[in-house]
Amino acid sequence: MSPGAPLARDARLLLRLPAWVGDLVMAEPLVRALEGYLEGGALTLAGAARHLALFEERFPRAQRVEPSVPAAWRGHDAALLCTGSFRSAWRAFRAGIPRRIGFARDGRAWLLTDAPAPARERGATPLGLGRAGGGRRLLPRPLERSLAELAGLVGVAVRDPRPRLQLCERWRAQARARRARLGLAPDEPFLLASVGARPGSAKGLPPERWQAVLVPLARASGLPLLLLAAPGEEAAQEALAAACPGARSVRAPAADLPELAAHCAEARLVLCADSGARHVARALGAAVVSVAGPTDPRHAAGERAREVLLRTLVPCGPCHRERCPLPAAQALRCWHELDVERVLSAARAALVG
Amino acid sequence: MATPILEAAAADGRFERVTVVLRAHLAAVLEGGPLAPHLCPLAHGASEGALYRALAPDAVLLLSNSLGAAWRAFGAGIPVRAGAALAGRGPLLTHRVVPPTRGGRRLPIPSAHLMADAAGLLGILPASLHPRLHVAEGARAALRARLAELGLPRTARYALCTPAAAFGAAKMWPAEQHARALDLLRERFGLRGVVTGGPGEEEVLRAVARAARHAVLDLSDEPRDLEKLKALVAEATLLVSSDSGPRWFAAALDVPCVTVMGPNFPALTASALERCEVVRLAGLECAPCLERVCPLGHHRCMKALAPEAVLEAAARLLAALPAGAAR
Repeated sequence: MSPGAPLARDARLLLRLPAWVGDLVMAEPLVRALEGYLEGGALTLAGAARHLALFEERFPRAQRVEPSVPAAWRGHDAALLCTGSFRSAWRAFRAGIPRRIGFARDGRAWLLTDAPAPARERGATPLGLGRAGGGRRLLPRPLERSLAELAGLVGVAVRDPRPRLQLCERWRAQARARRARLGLAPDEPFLLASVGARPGSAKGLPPERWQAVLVPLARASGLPLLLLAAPGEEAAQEALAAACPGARSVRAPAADLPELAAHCAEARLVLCADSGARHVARALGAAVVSVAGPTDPRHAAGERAREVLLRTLVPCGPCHRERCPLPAAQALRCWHELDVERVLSAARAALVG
Repeated sequence: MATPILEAAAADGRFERVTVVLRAHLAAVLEGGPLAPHLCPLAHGASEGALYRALAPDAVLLLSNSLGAAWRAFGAGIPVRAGAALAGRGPLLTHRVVPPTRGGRRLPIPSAHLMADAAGLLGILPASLHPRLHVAEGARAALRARLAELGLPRTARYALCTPAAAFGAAKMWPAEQHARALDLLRERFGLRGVVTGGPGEEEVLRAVARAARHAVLDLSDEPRDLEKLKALVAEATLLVSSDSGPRWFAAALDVPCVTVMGPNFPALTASALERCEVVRLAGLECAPCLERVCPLGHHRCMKALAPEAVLEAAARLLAALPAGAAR
């Protein structure tokens, strides 16, 4: 076995956070562990400002920088890269950071000083999945698990592996003001559906499938329905708003991450696809029913308390493709064959529980 | 560590039948919980291969990493064999996980992660990797009654100490240091020391009790088994343990635990640490060596570890307990 040398507790460490919202949330236990570990050192969080908003009022000792600014990388003793990109390793290298820690991916191992090869899977198609992918394949696993191992490599223990977000009062006020404008009282219970998807993306549940779930669920529960989508994903939301009578739509402007988090925290139930909203809701302890199409469920099978994930087994999935590769007549089988009754049943159970 | 995976498998509606094959002496660990109806203890000397042939499963998930386990599953003709590709057994497995490596050598990662990765090959996805054990109320009451007979009042708070380690002498902290740690815990928190261990560890237990300044309750002459150990851990305020099995009992029962570690990689067991602190000596060039006996003879990784470090770790753990969780 081959571990690395422990990180000095007075090190100046730059942590390159993931670029995806869900992955960022999964990195939260690592941030917490590093902040506690670096007693006499300094922690710099490199991530997009709109994402780091999720850590508002957290990690007060940590500096926050934009990773696209080369100067922000300089002056650190070590860089720990949560991303798998070549670019992040290159930036750390160019900034002269002496110790560069990250998984050996994307041809960047030579730029890193501590570069373990990630876990892989071999052999036949895993049970419960349609296809395994080809060739030398990485093992789909929760990012928080991989990051905890990367931290262990440099002697940092992630004591609590469950991602946790903390709701700020400012977020709550922002979300409540929005709901008030949509005709909901501050404490009024509601269903939240994060229905956005990039145009043409296979990763979002098609609006007509959402409709088949949300209309009967809203009717049966008697709860108002709040529809939400990330910026740039409003087309699916608007199509659905037109099809769901009485639904309130959070749009113009779309909710930012703090507002999304506050809606998730206060909703009776969050319904979403396998997206960033799913991770945000889970990390706030919300009741979640999520549906997955082309994504491998093992990627997000980390610590979760109140979530039910539903998917259907298709021979072509999980393909992880942004665009469904099947001919139009068979396209999006993973979504169209998803049993709506199962989703409804899980949602009803979650509302009762 | 495997309990979350086993429980997820048992609850998985895709499987008509789930059988947990384990060494007979370990069955008591899982008794009393949802896994009890699934247990199939393998008696000492019994043929694992014959058992596999009799059970005739469609798939086997190997949570041990031995070549022998894979060979026996292969020999029994089980069609789907999933596990970690370690010990040269990759070709015997139909589904395998290759753990992370560094410089061509295996990276020490938590065993719980490796087991979860292997379980994922069968689509078994536990909601948490935090282990769980179940102790019957009757077992707790019987334990308390017996401890009371031995002089520990039923409501008394105690620090349980499991000083031995089956792995080898290198993992063991000297008895005098265990005793000193128990005395410090007595002075600071009023916890009475109770010392226990497995068969053959009696001398170690007695040495700890003899070296302590306060009246440590020595259970070396009591009948001891894993079921009683579960109850002992569940009733304890704190466990002070070597890097061995009881540490995981504490994790599974949410009992604060200080583990003294010497020759091992902390990263190998860095899971379920919410109420566990691993105390070890930093900066030793020879550690971790993973040897059963100190190859240099000085055993510095353990001998130089001060009992005060255990006290400090215990103080942090007890202070961090949520309200109402302290025993």
